[in-house]
Amino acid sequence: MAEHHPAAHQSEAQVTRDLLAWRQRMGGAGVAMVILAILAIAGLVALISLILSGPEPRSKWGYVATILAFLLGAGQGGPIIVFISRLAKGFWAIPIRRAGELLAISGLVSVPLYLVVLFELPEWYNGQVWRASIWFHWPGAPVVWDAIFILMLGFTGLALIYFSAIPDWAAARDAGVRGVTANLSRWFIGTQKQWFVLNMGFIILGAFYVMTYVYVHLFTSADMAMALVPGWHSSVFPAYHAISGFQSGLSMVLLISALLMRFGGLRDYIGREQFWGASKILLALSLLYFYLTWAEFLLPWYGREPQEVQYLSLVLFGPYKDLYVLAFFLSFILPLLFLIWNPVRASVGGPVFVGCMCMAGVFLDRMRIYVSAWSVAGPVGPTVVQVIPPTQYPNLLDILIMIGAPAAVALLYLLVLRIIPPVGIWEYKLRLLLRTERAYLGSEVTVLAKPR
Amino acid sequence: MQDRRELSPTKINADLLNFTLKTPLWFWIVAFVLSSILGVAAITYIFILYYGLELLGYQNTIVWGFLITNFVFWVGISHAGVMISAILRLSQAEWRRPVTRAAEVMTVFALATAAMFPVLHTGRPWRTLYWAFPYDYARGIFPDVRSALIWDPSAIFTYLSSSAMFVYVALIPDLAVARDMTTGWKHSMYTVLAMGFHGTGRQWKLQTIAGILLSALILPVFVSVHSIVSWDFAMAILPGYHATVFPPYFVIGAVHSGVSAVATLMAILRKIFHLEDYITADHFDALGRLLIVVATGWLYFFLLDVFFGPVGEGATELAVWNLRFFTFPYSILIPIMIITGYLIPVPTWLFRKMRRNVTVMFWTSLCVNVGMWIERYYIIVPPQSFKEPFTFEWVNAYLPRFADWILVIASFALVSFGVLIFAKLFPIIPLFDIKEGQVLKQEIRIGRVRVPAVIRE
Amino acid sequence: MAVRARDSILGVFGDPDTVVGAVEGLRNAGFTGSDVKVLSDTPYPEGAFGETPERHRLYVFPFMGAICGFSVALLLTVATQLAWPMVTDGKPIIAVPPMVNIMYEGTMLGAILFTVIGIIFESRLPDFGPTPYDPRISQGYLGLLVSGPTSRIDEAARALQSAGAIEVVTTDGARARA
Repeated sequence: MAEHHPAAHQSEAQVTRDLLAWRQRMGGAGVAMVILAILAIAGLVALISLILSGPEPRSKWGYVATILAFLLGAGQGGPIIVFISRLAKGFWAIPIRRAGELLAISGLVSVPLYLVVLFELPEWYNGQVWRASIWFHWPGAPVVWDAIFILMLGFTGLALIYFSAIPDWAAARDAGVRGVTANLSRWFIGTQKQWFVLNMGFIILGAFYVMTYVYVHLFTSADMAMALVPGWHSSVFPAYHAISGFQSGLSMVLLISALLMRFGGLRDYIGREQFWGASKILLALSLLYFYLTWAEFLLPWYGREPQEVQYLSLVLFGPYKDLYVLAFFLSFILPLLFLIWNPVRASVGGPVFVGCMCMAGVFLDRMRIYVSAWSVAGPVGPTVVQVIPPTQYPNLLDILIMIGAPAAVALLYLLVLRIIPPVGIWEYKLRLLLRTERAYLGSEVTVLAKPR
Repeated sequence: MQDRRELSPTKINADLLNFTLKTPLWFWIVAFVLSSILGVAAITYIFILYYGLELLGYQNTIVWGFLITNFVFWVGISHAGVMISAILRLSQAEWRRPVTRAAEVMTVFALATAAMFPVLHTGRPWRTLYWAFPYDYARGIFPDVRSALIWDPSAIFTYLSSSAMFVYVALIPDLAVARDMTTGWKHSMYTVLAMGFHGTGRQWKLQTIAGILLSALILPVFVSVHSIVSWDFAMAILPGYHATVFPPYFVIGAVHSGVSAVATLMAILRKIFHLEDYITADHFDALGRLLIVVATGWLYFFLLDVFFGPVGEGATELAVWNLRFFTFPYSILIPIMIITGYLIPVPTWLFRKMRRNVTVMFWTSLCVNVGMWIERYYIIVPPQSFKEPFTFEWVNAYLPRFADWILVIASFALVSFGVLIFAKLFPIIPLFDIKEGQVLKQEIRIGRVRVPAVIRE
Repeated sequence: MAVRARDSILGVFGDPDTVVGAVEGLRNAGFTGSDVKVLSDTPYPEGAFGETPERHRLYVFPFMGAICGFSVALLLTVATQLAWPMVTDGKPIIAVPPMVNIMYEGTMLGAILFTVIGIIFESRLPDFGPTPYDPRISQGYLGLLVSGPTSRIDEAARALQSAGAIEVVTTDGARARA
């Protein structure tokens, strides 16, 4: 797309002034923050009520696990696109990287929620036999190790936010802004060595984040879903869980970027190019969603062993069959039908609309998995599901928690936007350096630099 | 790309068509050696046809041994072409230019070689072909569509045809150049194959779109082929085979072995054709970085199979895993696989100096393929050892015999021979792609530094 | 010999900048649109020489091919299962999940095959007609192929020569150096 980009006419000084003035544009979000705070508090109260009512019946934790699993994808999956674009030197994604990085703030909600659900898991050993799991009686498993990994993920995400914000806080400090952010960036003056260390740090932290993210999804899917259903031990399910989580994370980044563009006055910074580039990844992820879902389904359908038949009856074609079908349409069929058309991919509304469908699809899919799994989360012993429970619908507490948790994440996101610009100033200025328009023979072309 | 050379079209034509237009002595020597190996293999197979499958190392219940391992291995290698060519075209990575055609050609010959082995290993290949293709309804013999073994021919045929067409379409402009530089029978051959390509704007536009569109279409096929091959095993309820992770596990393993094979091939081509100006340290650097990601993904799926396979399964599944990890000879194969497939190459590739060293990249990529061949073997053979707990106890370990070894070695000779003949007839490095890289090459001045840049359409 | 209503002439140029000027000159002389084609041995950015962008319908072919491939695969799999109705492993006679794998491959094969046909067709190949051509184009020279009424070919030749063409080649192979 050799279209004329606003970047061609922007100067570094103008970009710094513009993006630092973002603080003033945040004033209008006050009402939204109040509403989100109320919803978050309601969700917290509902969660505390649920905890105080005791662990039994275990089935009541299904919807809590659902929203946790969803946030692990839609929230914690955001920084993945940042790492991938940094590693592949995809400079087109620079304007939306900060939106993805800031999603790591969801760790402040998902980590405590994770720990709550972890402690509500049913017993793993009844004195005679261990629950079938990937841990093979490893000491402390699963609580200790799952807790360590989720804490690592949360901490790494916050570290990514911090280090990414430092150069921008330094720019704000130099423009006269005082306070906590100035103190936190006191040591940064932009020497070559500091930039080198920062860039290496992003790659290493990003790689560590991705690996931790993948393993958190592995343990979540293994311990909070599969281990609860006798006879379910699908080896592709963790990979599917991680990929669909990333799909919802990328969708969330697109949605936030569109909102920033529309309501945040960032049309000069975020444009069609970002959505066009991300839509190709979204299409690939939708295809991967289908591929992994198909791999998961075909084997038990073909094998028809007793535990496989029961798995199909419970998790796929049983009480939550409608969710399965709906999720399949929202996460694969409709995204495919929309995104194969280049005019849709090369628009802003198209990828955002498809992203919202994907998020809805992933949410419904998590509901199907976790509500069905927790509905049979009984004592250790059976190797096959004995009875398929009827459909369990959410009650008021479930609804408040499922609304309150994402509201808390949104509130934290808006709060962090008060101190961190939504587009990375230093990265955007880098993009200006690496991109230019120039005449070539009888036309004008875009030239992109590819530095080492 | 930082290693940038100024290459004129005349120099590019001369360098990259040199082997096509002139025949050095070593070509005849290498062709003779490879043909001899193929001849020995053909004679061996005639003996197998005559005397039966007893010449192979099959045991009771272990009927998928070296030949099927080799089948899966070569299907894996064939994934290199699409991985490099399609994904790098779609992401507009500049470093793909000298690599794409060699990778695509290796795909075609690797896949054609792989397709032979399921047919050969049955001992009566004509019956296998009868059974696979639905014709003549009157005989009443049909391929069972519900069987994974029938999905295989459809997938491999689709991938082979698609890859071959992909190679041909991208070859047309270079055939036109070869047409313009030759006389006699070669000129006639290239004239027919080039179909009158003259390099008009329309033809170039369609070539560019063709590259992207075919890449986008062939990528899903690439994923499906090795998934369907994996289902040959996973659809069986055999403990050790019946795992949902097999499709992505096989695909990522295929990419790992395939991209490593491309690195090996590029090192060989660079050496024998003196292509230092075209295949530079930057290309190996980029391949190495890609391989780190792919190898780590492969390790993840390997661990998924290892940790989820035995979970909750009965004594038989645990016995198979015990056999794989703790019983000779499989117990030494797994460490060798991990060491050669990951522990040696990946830490080596973490260092830029190592990635940019062609010799290091050659040996580490070879090392990977040793590990990946062993990986296919350890997946396929051990579970068959405990197939009938009511009838047999453990059977003798599978011991490959002379015929097994010859056929496996011959498969390497066949692929090498195919690539060699292709390189003799057609340019193995795409001329127009290299020239396009020269056209799109730019620089952006940042302070005192000139940063390499590229025109992006 | 019959006189053609339309004819072509080729100007051979040594560098791209001259070609840009030549296209402009030909446009001023009344040769526009698909009358003027740039021949090169490598793709240049579209519009680099000021030529008219080419329109095509390539995208129709993959869809047609996919539909054909899907239909053939569906027919093959259903007919095969119905012709020998054997219950295997408790699965239905028409077992959809296994059919999906084969139908998917058939769909993709159809799409790719038709795409290749479309590429060749839209590229106007095979083209073995008497079009002026110079093998030096493969060595990095650029060609400017001008088509028009036979009566205007001399005018085109003059425009090419005055724009800096090294040589002008006619349909019958005659060459005139600048």
